[in-house]
Amino acid sequence: MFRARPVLLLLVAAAACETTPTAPTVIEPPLVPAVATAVPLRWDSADELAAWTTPVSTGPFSIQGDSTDAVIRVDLIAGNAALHGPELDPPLVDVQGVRMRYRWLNRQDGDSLFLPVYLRPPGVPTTLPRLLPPSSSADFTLIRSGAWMERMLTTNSVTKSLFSARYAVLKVTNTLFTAPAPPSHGTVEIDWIEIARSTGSSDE
Amino acid sequence: MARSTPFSLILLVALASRAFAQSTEPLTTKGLRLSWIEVGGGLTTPIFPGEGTALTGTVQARVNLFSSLAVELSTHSPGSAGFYDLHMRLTGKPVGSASGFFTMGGLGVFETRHVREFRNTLPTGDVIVYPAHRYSRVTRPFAMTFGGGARFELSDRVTADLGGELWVGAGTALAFAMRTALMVGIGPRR
Repeated sequence: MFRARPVLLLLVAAAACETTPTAPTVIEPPLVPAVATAVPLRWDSADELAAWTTPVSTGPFSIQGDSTDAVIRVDLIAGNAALHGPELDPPLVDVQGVRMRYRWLNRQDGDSLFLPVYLRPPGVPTTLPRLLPPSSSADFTLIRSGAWMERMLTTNSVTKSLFSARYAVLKVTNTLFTAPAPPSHGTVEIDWIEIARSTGSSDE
Repeated sequence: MARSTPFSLILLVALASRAFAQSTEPLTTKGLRLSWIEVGGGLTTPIFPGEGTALTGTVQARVNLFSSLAVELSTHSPGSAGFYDLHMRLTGKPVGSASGFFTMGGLGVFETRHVREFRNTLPTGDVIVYPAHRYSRVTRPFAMTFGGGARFELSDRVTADLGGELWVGAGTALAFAMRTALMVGIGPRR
């Protein structure tokens, strides 16, 4: 007599399985050495700002001026820029955001400008925190006027979390998307860049 | 204690079943015993009620545990993904060169495909490289199969199967599959 029990046991024995994908690897860009700064984690003088304008950075940028009056100037009509910051040694684990002083000169109607900062965490990054300046209508009016603005770049997230970072990359771009957009006009000047840590963190 | 594998469990279950152990007569018309292993392939045409039909190639292997009881694994696939069918098979005494058989088992899905290398460039300039690999997946059986048909002896090692199978899942008939296969006995006889 044929019995169902062996067949049922046979089905239980047939367990599901699935291969796991191979772990990804990372091809890293060249390392930008850290530079000593007068104020920790703040790049202000020409020598300090030069750490953001090494050959690892790309785009139409230059350093104008001397000492703490120096600025990084990006000529928008010539294209977008990606300013690769110096290595933070040791990596930070309590980054709140990035503070920056900047202005946009000689813009034209219809031009757009975005200043995202990407924080590179240690290890294999799958996603990158993207920090942006505030986007209030008052700020929009102010940047169109060409006035200096000092703003904290953070995530749009309601919950303010802390980030780990080996270095930061500041983009000066006319679009946040991969599709090309019409070039913007004028120049963006960046007076200084500062990485803000959470209150109460001690500097190394 | 040795680690159990599905195959050893099948063997244990079959050995423990007295009903299967009583049939010892040879199953070829020439008085020869079956080969331990038979491999082959053919065509399967599942008919899905209300959804149509498909013609797939079938590759299968059979292990003859006893003269009348076997475990059979079949894959029905038009390519690198498809159904697998793992069942027990009970074969009756030959009448002339033909013998009837019944099957009962489970049906699942398998998939294997090559995944190309993928590179993702991040805004920081990092390039994340996801290496090429082979992705494979086998699900647990999600349906029962009940089938039957006739086996025709073409030579002392070659047989042809002609039959049908009902695939039943979640209490309803999922499909009725017409099956044909040519099987070749390999290796020593039982």
